[in-house]
Amino acid sequence: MLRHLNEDELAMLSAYLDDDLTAEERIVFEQQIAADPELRRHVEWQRHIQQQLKADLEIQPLRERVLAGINQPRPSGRSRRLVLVSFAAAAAILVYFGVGDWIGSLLVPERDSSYLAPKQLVTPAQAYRSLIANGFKPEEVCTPSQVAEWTGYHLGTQLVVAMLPDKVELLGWSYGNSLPGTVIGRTSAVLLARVEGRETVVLMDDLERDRDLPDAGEKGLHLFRAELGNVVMYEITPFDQPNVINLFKLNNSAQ
Amino acid sequence: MFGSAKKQPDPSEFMLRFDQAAERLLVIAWAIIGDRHWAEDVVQEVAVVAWRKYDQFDPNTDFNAWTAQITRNIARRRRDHERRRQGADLDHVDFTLAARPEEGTTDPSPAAPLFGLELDDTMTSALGQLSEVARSCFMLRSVLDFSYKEIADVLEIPAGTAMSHVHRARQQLALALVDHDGKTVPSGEG
Repeated sequence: MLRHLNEDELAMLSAYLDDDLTAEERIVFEQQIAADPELRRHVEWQRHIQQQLKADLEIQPLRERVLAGINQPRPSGRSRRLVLVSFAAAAAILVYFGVGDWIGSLLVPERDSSYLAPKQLVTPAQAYRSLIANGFKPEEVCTPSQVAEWTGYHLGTQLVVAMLPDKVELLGWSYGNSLPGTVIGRTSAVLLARVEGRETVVLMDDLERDRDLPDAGEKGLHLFRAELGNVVMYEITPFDQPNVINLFKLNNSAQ
Repeated sequence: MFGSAKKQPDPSEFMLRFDQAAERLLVIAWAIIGDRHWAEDVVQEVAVVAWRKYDQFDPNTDFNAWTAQITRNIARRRRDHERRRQGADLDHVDFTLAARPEEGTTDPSPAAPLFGLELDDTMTSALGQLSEVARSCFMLRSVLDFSYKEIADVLEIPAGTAMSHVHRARQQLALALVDHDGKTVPSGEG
């Protein structure tokens, strides 16, 4: 049976595939590969995967599919397998006929503008008030049990909620770009919660992007800061003490 | 009456920029929803949405990151919608390749002597079990040879996180190979 690679071998393999080894390290590793059929099989396996995926990407030039699709306005939604038209031809046609009007009439429904990056800085209080004015509804509902997965993806660090007191209700997550402007960053995680029925917001982001926010920016609102691993958290709350950020812990069971 | 007129976006400029971003968007969409063909539909939708919003795009910001975020949002919506519709396991993606050689034909891959068609199932299954972000990082690295900095920029995660995701993805794929070989009866014994 093929053996498992140990951590050192995996690290070397990964560096080898990334072309991150020095010339000397590469020679030594290649000698190991030559002498060890099982290690060689692992290396070939990783390369095989890479080749298969690359080959799949090259089956048909994507630009032709996508841009030919733009070239074919349709009255209603349906599956869109595309006619091959060259990119240059599509571009020329679009420019000639004035693309703006009819692209606007294509089948894709209007979406919100949350994709767009906020441009101006706003205070935590402005963000808080905006969330309340918009109904204080999260974009994604998240139960306490889903916190680890969610934070692991968005922040690269899995956090868990130790124990949720009765007075605290986690509503779910929004994103920094749903705010009226930048508080920390447009990719910040925004946790919406209620504490004793009162709206409470927690902003989370990578510690590297921390702006060292001094205060909430409004009398009657308080700002509390905490760090966990590589994550910085700010709680915006009407209470004079934090009630949510202190519930989080690092998920020690994560890899 | 004669206030500053809003500048109309330039379609040829947009299309050139989108063309340069399209491959990475395809890989991101593919990583999120798992299906190679379906990913093309997502990228097409991204093109239209991005064009609609292009007059609001700040040219001082990163077009690649902007379109990547649109791609992630659309791909996730489609994936989640489809999973709910099918009542499928929300934690698993059925990862598929665009095309595979017919049974009995020659695998065009240079690694064909070592890895036959049955191992492609192992590969796609293992890729499907990776987390979305790990699969995205791994594919951007493996398919497009992105640096970890480029992966970090386009997925808006720290570069160290991108690197550890790629490393863990390789680890999972190595485990899948060991597992596969452990279940396979060596040729000549069957």
